[in-house]
Amino acid sequence: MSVGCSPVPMLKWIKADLHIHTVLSACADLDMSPREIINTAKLLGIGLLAITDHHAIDNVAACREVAKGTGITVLFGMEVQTREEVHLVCLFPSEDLADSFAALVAQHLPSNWLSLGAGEIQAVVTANDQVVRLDQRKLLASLDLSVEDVCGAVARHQGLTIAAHVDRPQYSLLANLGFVPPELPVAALETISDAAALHKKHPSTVGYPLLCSSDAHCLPMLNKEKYTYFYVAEDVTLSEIRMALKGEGGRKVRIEN
Amino acid sequence: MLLSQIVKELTLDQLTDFHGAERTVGGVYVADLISLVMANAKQDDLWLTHQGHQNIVALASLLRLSCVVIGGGMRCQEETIRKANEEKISLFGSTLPIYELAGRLYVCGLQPSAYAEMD
Ligand SMILES: [Zn+2]
Ligand SMILES: [Zn+2]
Repeated sequence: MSVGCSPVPMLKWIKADLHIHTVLSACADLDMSPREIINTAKLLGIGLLAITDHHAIDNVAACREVAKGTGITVLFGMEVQTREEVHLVCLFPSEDLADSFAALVAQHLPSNWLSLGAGEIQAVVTANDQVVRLDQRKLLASLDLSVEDVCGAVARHQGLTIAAHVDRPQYSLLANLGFVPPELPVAALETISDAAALHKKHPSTVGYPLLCSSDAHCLPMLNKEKYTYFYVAEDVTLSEIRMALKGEGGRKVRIEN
Repeated sequence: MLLSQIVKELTLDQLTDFHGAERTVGGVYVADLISLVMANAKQDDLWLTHQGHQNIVALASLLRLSCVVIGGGMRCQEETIRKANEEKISLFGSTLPIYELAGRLYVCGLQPSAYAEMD
């Protein structure tokens, strides 16, 4: 084989959901434990997940452990709230890089922590669904970072930024900032609209790959009408996802019912 | 009312060069969600907001607003100021809360944006 010619891996379609909360998000139900999430994903035939709690990655490792041997890939993710109250889903290629990003995020959360509301629980858990500790800091607050700052920091951690739920009337790129800021390095937009409707209402979204994710806060939310499918190597990595979003190397992405 | 009068009356801090001091301010629109401003603000409006993101400049330019006032002591990005000067949009800052600023503008006789269009 000649130098520079790597073997072509087998590509296949994988059903994905890149925005899922666990019990570490105060707004998520207590049934969003690693075991329940992975079991439900298995039943639904979802082969690729990103765990994206608000400003924390502590439950990703447990989800990955549960997923071992199931054929399900779990990516390191986090949902960030910027200074403009825009939600961004950030994905990372490794635990180290996700950790380092989480440390940066912690420095930019409000220094005077708000306390959790009554009944709100943020639990770090093990692969056996045992509670390790409760995080008492209110994790969902705006960072002192702009959308550009966050995209830049994610890129420096070799990650991907996806604008979360862009159709929502609040906490979204389109509601809060009106349009996709020119040259903002977001890899994709998460939407529940179909492409034609989104492009008509928001011309600034043209040219960005679209994803459909659940933003699940309870198990039934994992069961949706539409899913994102990636045509990627069976051994899914973040770089496979990046290639699919760019349409490189035969990789691709589509949303289907 | 002239923009220069309003700036003096409210003792606003000038964040950019002063573009169009002799411009007349039509009405006032208050919002932090830029999508709302896109849908509702009118030409010559003064836009009162907490939002310091650079997208405010593109919108102020598109809608031909008279200026943007960033209240509540919110900071605005360097990039926003640079773009505003490029687009000749005046940005002002104030440490006063938005409510206070809106009240003072009302006392000055400035009408909400929608009423301004009706008469
Ligand atoms: Zn969100
Ligand atoms: Zn979410």
